[in-house]
Amino acid sequence: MFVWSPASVTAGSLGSLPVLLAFATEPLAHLRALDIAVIVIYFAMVLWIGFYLKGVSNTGEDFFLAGREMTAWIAGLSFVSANLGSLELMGWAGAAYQYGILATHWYWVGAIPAMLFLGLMMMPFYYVSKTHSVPGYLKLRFGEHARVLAALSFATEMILMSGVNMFAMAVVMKVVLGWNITFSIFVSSIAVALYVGLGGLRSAIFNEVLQFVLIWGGALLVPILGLVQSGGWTGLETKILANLHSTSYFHLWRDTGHFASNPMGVHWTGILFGLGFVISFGYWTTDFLVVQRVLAAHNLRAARMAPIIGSFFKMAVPFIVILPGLLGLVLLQNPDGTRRVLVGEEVVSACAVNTAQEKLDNPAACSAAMSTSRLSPAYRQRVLEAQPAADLHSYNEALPLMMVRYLGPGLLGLGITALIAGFMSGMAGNVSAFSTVWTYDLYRPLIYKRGSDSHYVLVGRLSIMSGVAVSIGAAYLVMHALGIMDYVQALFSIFIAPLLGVILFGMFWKRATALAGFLGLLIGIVFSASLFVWVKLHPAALALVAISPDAKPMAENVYRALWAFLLTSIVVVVVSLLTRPKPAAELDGLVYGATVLPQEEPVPFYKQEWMWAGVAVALFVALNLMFW
Amino acid sequence: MHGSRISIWFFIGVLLAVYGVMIAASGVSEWVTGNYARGVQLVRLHMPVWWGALLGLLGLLYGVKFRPRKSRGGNTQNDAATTARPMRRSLDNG
Repeated sequence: MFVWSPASVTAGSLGSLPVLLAFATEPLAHLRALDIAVIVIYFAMVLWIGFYLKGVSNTGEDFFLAGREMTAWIAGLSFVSANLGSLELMGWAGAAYQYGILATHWYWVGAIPAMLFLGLMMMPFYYVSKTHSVPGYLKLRFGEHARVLAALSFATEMILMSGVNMFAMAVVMKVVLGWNITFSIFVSSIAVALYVGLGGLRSAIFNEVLQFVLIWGGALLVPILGLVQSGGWTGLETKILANLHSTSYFHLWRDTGHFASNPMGVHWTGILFGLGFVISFGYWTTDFLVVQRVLAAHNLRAARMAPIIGSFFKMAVPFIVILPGLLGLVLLQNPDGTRRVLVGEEVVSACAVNTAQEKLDNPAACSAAMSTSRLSPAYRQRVLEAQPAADLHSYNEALPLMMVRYLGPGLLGLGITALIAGFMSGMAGNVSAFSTVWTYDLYRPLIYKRGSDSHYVLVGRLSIMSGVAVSIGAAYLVMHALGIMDYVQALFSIFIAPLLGVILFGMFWKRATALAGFLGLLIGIVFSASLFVWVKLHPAALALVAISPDAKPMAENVYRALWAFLLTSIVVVVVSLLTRPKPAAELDGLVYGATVLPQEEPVPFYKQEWMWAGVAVALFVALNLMFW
Repeated sequence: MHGSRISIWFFIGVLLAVYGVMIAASGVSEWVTGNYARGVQLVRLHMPVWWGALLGLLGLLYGVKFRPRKSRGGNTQNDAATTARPMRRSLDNG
């Protein structure tokens, strides 16, 4: 269902979305005039913001770094919001329906330690080095080759991901609202191209903060009303135990001692080291899409505080994502009042109905697919008879179904607006990060070095327009060749582990050399991609990659990332020891131990980043113990 | 958000205030007429009224607190954001 990744895509539900599209019949929700008005006002607002900010985005620093004037709160909200897309909301609500509270790992151990590490340990070097991007830092630390390799892979990933986001949004709008695919793609792309093209990163950040508020305003009511109806947390536990006869839904760690003892097929070592270290640190500390938001902070203290502030909000997100999924397990109902059971996409597709003949295309395949689901025998029979009221919905529809259940006119429009805002800010994040990397890490060093500041701003604006155009092409490409989607999503998990290895050694080991950085990155990427292709061509190889015959596909990304990180680390260490390091003087501002950080004005203890990081750690530990 | 600009919180305040009024008005209309949307649960709690009022109130607070103001120089300024100007730095690195 989803890839083991904390990416904004959650990359998760993406692969299964086309199935939803192919078998969607009736839209899940019907909007009224008030709901449409809420959506139209949102579009008017983002365009207003874009046109307003055009007047203050004329220099390179304004356009690409939002003038480096964001407060810690704005940068922190934008930082966490860049990872709170609609697919993440829907995908993880579906995961919670399927696996219970285990899905929360992606919000807690898969994010919080890395966010705090970024703020406390890494941000000083990103910020003091005065770089404008992560590839830019690689150039300063390891030279031009490492920069170009990282920039090329990142730019390609961003533009393709933007297209996938666009397609995913169109599919969700088609499934939930019945909107035409092309209409959704073009309206969202024109809006994104306008507001990011006009206001640059500042506009993207503004809209991410706006999206964050809308998501909470639009989605918070669902778990609140769900808890009211289920009789509170205790009532929810009782109902789940009565219906599903399992306590695994409420435990984060207890059942992860063996791959086979939990429904995800994961082991605690994979969660802790694979997700909690390599993938999480790789994403939160080296992915320029999120780091760019923090680089826009107005001083070093704000840059360090931003991820720490973001960590508190990240810890709260399961309340609006995981809880609705759990509530859906016992509260969703069929039209006849019985408990609705959601199923995997493979069941939905196997039970496709031939609408002309009003019977199933392939009853045998449908029956076989349903045998692995939790559907009752009586309901299976009704599905096989293609009764109109016996429709099937997938796990990914858990959140929209809960929204339709509790949100009336206006509130439903707000919830849908939150989903649209999530998609659009995801696209905006992709194209704004692409524009910066393209302009400063590819165009300027490789194509035209002597341009003026206004020239590069123009190039940035044009790259946003062309980036959106290429994304539209990518969206249609994905639509017509669905297998591409798997590869696009895999790009993220293939690149981050090697990048993490190179940046950690670069930032914390003075001895690491330029050649070691470049070779570590290159060999790590090639190795990671080879493992991916190997498992694609020979699925049995999964047992070797994930070192267990019980491992499920979800474990693959974790272990692939671990091996790629280890190999990258070995290459960096060995090559560094065989080559001549840079003089310490050239490492000032780039490496721990060779940098004198600027003195900051003393502040009261309640404004200090270390104090708040300590509070975040205490809360993080308490939450994990509470749901052990 | 710093500097002589309209704060993001002002935009958010305006949007929440408009949404709050629309949703609360719709909720009041449902309450008065008893004409509730079909299939929606817990309608007797009148959540659109309370949620709309909450959004509207928050929007009003933010809209007023972060409203654009004319500074002495004639620029539009935002009160809570008018701390120091940003530290300007060169993009020529990296």
